[in-house]
Amino acid sequence: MITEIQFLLISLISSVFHLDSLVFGQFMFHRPIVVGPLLGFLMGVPQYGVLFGCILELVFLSLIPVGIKVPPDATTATVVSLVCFKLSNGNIIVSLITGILLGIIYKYLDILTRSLNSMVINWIENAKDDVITTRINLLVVYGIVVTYFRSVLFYLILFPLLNVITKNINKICLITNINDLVYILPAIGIGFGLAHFVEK
Amino acid sequence: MKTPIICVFLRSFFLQSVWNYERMQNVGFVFTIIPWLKKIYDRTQKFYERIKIHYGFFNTHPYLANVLIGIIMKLEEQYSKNEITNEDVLKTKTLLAGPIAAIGDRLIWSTWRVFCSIVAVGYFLSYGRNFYNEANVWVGIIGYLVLYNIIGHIPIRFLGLYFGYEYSKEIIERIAKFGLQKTVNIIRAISAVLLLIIAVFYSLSLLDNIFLVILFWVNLFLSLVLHKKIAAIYIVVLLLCINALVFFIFKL
Repeated sequence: MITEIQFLLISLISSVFHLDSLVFGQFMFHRPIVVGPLLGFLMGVPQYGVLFGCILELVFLSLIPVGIKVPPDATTATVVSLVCFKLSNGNIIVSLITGILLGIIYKYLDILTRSLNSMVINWIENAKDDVITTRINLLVVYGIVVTYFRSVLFYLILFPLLNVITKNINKICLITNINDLVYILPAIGIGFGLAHFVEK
Repeated sequence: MKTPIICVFLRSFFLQSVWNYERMQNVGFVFTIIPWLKKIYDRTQKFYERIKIHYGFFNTHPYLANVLIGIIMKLEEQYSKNEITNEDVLKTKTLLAGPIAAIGDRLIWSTWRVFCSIVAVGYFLSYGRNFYNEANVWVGIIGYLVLYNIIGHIPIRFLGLYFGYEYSKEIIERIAKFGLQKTVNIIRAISAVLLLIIAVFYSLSLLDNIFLVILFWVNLFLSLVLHKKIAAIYIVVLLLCINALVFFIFKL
């Protein structure tokens, strides 16, 4: 069970991690191995934060933002997996699948923002000399604000939907007692990691 | 000179803040070099002209971009003294962005970041099947961030900017002499071996249930083989469903 206030808090905090993935720094605060445990603490399930963090870190290990390629979003996958886990009372498989699928959807939101940015940058073209530096500073602030509130909005719309979906999934889901499955999940990520080195 | 360089360094963290499909990192690039241009040209007409000229297409690796920014800072200085032409500055900027991006993608994204992730995950998984209950979370997270940022990320950005400015275009030859490819190959080899060791040690912790060990190696093998044919994300979803079904059939 997650309260509305917790939903809001998770959205606000998770969106800070999203800033790190593109608009500021890339210090890797947005990686699942960091987001998972930190958010797990916030939600009162630190051990599952580590579990999801490790599994998703390995899964997203070889997905690299080369050139204009935007990979599925690892931060979203981690946040959604953890929230879904909490809402579904511990259904790890449903949580991971939902998280990964929403990571793919978030990627398109990112692409849309990048496309919108193309329109905004023309603001400088006709600027008079005395305002040009101010406008560049404002554009940078715009980039940060848009990325942050885009994520907040995404989560605020998504979480109530997840609440409804997971409740229904729990009603119809036949596979409930498969907790041992957790132990083999790192194998998938390790396989991807090895493939990353075999291919290139 | 020190203050503008530090300002440029700090601003370089915002390089991708308005990443767009038309000119990519152009806003971030101009935002980064403004303190330097201000130092060279003060707030004269030339200052605004240079901003507009540098507002064109720019795209490279966000960390190694600092090498190119350092080079451009040096060239701008020479341009202001009429030692080189505007074309020289722009040509260098365009010609070097691609190779620097390629080095960055290979060195940082597909080698250093992957290596740090493997070390951090390896730390957690070294605790065996109950790693998520037993490992110290803070050691894992802080260790990962310190390893990635303090040893790799921040020195690369700072030294890249400094040496880019100091050596200008010569920096490329110096990077080539440094034997970067050999370093990359060594880190990649270590990472692959580490992953294998993690897999073996982790699977040993599952030995009390042979069903889990078999499933562990089958999953590892399948993800390794399928990776060439299907996108990673879809393989995960597929394998999760198959595993759930296998568990459902054999365990219930």
